[in-house]
Amino acid sequence: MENCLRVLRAENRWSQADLAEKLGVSRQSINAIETGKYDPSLPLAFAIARLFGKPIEAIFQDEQAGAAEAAE
Amino acid sequence: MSDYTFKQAKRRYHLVYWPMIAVYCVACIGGALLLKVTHAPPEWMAPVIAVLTVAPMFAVLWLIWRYVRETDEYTRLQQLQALSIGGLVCAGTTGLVGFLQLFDVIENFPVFLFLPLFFLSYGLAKVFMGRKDCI
Repeated sequence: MENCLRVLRAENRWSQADLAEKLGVSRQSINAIETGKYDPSLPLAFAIARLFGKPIEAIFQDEQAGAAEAAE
Repeated sequence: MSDYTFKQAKRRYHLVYWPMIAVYCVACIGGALLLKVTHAPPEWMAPVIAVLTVAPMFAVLWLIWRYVRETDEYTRLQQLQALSIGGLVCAGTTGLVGFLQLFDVIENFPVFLFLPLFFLSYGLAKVFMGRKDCI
């Protein structure tokens, strides 16, 4: 799953540690999500979306769905 | 999501972990010394000291379980993977040593080494996973 978490974080001038603190998770979690190594659970994805004031689909994009749409 | 933040879970873990390690060290050294200096120790003393020595280790195992439940989801995944590696290494080694003993290849192997082996392989797995995340 792709995401624009790094961009959103940069826009807010937050470090990974800042964002981790706001979400109550570890900095490693933020790094793993940003680099696409780990897909967050729905509750965490909702918490991220709430924090940035955006819908989940504006932050997380399903690569397979995108590829299917492109094929159509 | 957990009721605790990552930092709270980590703090709760360390708050009990270090005292338990200190108790374990004192119990190890103190228990061995007590058995050594006591002239003709009563029969109950050795088993009681053995149980008291290993009690802090059980506390640490419970602590790991609590940390796994309380920490954030990504750390939980890493912890569970590291615990699995520790458990698998320990189980495999136990089987190997068991068969070596069964076939009289080796004799008395100190069984208490399996606990440090578990912690060692669990710890190394955690370090390895942590290094992979350091970007």
